[in-house]
Order: sequence, then C-alpha cells, then structure tokens
Amino acid sequence: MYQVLCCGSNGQYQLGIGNDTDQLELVAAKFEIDGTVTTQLAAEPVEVVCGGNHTLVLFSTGEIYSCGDNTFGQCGHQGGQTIEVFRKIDGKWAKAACGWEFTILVDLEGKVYSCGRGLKGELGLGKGVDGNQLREVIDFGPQAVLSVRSSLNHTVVQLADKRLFGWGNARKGQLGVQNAIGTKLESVIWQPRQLKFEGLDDLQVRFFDVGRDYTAFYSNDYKEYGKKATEKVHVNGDVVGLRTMWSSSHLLVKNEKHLSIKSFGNDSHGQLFPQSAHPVVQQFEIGSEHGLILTDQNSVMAWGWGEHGNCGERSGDEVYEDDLSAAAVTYSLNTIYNQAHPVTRLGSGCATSWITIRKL
Amino acid sequence: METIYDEIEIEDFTFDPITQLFQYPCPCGDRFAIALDDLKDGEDIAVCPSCSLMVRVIFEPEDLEEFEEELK
Ligand SMILES: [Zn+2]
Repeated sequence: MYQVLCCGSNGQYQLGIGNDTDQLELVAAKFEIDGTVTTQLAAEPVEVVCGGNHTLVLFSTGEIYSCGDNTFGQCGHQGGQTIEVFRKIDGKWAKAACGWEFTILVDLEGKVYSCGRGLKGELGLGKGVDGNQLREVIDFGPQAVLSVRSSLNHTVVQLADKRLFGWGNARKGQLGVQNAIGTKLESVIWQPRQLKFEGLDDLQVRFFDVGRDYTAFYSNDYKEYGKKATEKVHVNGDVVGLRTMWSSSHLLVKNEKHLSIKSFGNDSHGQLFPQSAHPVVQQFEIGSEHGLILTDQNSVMAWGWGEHGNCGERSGDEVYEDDLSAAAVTYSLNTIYNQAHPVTRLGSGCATSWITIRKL
Repeated sequence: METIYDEIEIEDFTFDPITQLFQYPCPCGDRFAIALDDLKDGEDIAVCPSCSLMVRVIFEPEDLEEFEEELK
C-alpha cells in the first residue's frame, strides 16, 4: 500500500484532503476510488504535478487523479466545481504537466491534450479556444515525448529526437526566438511549434526546466532564456539534474559519490540551497519558491519560503518580532518527514509539499 | 525592512476594468494586487491577500494611460 502525504497552501482544496485549510503538518491526501474515499493506495504514485491551485497524481498504472481549483476545467473534469478530494481523469496517461490555470497531458500514444484557461496561449489550441474539457493539441506519436514541463504560462516539450517544442507566453524570450509580427515581436505562441534558442544545440540538452518566465537548460553548461539574465554559472562536478523555482535555478551536482545542490537566482526568502548544510541528498523536488530533499536517512527536509506550512513547522524555538518578516517565513532545511515508511517520491508546488510513501 | 520578493513589469499584470485592479500570480496560489488609483498616486508595491509577499510594479506613469482609456 502507498500513501500520498502533503502539507502547505490549501485555499482551493489543492491538497485533496476534503477541506480548504492550510496544513502545517503532513496529512494523507484522499482519493475517490470506485466510489470510496480512501488514503490507502494499491497502485504506486509515480509523480505529483502541481498547478497554481490544482494538483495531479500520476500512478504507475497510467491513471491520473486530480483535485483543487477547477473553475476553468484545469483538473481535467468538466469545469466549474472545485474538486475536494482526488478524482480520476478518464483515460490512461504517460505524462502530465501543470501551469497556473491549465494542465497538459500526454497519452500512451504520444497525443498531447490540454485543459483549463489559457489567455496567453497556454492551451496550445489557438486563440479564443475554451479549455473546459480536454482537447487534443498535437500528436507526436508513440514514444516520441521524452519530457514535458509547464510553468506559469508556458510549456516546453522535449522529444526523443531532442527537438524542442513549446507554446504559451513568449514575451520574455522563454520560448526562444520570437517571430516578428509587423514591427513587433510576437508575445504569444498560440499553437505548438518547434523552438529555437539562440546559442543552444538541442541535441546536447541533458536537462531542462521552466521557471515562471524563463526556460533553463543544462547541456555542457547552464543556459537560460527569458526574464532572468543569464549568469555565468561555474559548477564543480557532474550535473545530474536541473529544476527551477519561479525565480531561481537548482542543479543537482555529483561530486565523487555525493549529491549536492547548487542554486542561483532570487534569494529573497532563502530560496538558494543553504551551502553550509551537507545532508546526503538522494532526491530533490522544487516548488514555486521552496524545495524538498530526501536524505539517505529517509528523511525529507524543506528549504525556502514556507509561509503556508509547506516547509513544515519550525523545529527550533526562534522568536520573530514580526511574524511576517522575511526571516519568519524563511526556512533552512527543516525536517518535515522522518518516519520509517520508505519515501518513494517527492513533489512540490505553489507553497505545497508532497511525499509519497510505501506503507510498511 | 520590507523584503520585496520580486519586480514585475506592468505588462505582465492583468487589469480588470470593473475592480480597477492589476493582478499577477503569487507563488502561494493567490494573486498580487494593486489598484489603478494607487499606481496613479505613485505607489508601486502590489500585495497578496493570502501571504506576506510583495512585488514592485515596474511602470512609467504614461503606461497607465491605456488602462484609463479602457475605463471610458
Ligand atoms: Zn501570496
């Protein structure tokens, strides 16, 4: 049996626990399975994907369950009603990505679908199409889609042949070279098209991720396109992963045998991984402005902005004169899970944290 | 001292002519908001009703003209 544990921001039922109260401690998410609401899951949850106020859980069976804000149909269910506990989306799926108010799904045949609201081209369906139900965006074919990532308003797809496709908000260059429309550059890419990033060789891209309004790549070095100006990033060791918060980037680096995290970008609320700490990292996941690591001791720690309980309750006894000062809502590797049940996956969203465990 | 989370260009905000509010997504799931009148008064800090984060709105006074047009 498995469980999906969560804490953090919950104003739109995005934790799927049947209420809309923020959670400072981990609670088990609820799933409606064959008419029964349960926290015990027979199938293995393999990924938790988070939008602005909605959440998807993908299982090893190809099933996807969703919950949270569904005003525009972003949960993959007929739009309107908030989904209070996780409910199954019809069909079998290979991949999923979520943005602010939209969802992108890829089925087992490589067909891409979208739903939700996309005023800046997020749905990839052209201008003025409503996303109240899942609609097919493009068919890449079986086994063609390697990876799909969405952030606030844009989506990037990497194909098995390493070509990059994308759509959505392009105004800051986050989708690469913008076409000219009259005297101006296009600000939105309304339908999927192959992307070209100046100075980037698609074939060499090993990792990529999408920030709030930029896209980051790691090939032999780190490159980013969009709002943040590219900084020269020097890395010692082998980069084995890349994830972005909304306004900072995080590389998973292998040094001899150990994994560590090297961060750069916005550090207004401790978003950059604390360099004084040296936990043995096994996995990491990155949310909007906080991150999670799984250590070799099977404990999960959170760092960054934790105002909604997404970094757990503070274990120390620090007292802050102003409860809402940046220091009071900033966390530096706070332990949120250290029980015996093995942690299988991490997930992290807009001030939400997710841990999947295998029940002993 | 107030910590500003980020700086956001006015073009990235959505303007609602009915409430006369400019809004932009906050990493907590809610939205930063600032009123057109506040911007006209020279205010530039948008706040989120659900958390303590704040953003500075990047704009020039003349940027506001097109939004005032929308109200007419
Ligand atoms: Zn907020």
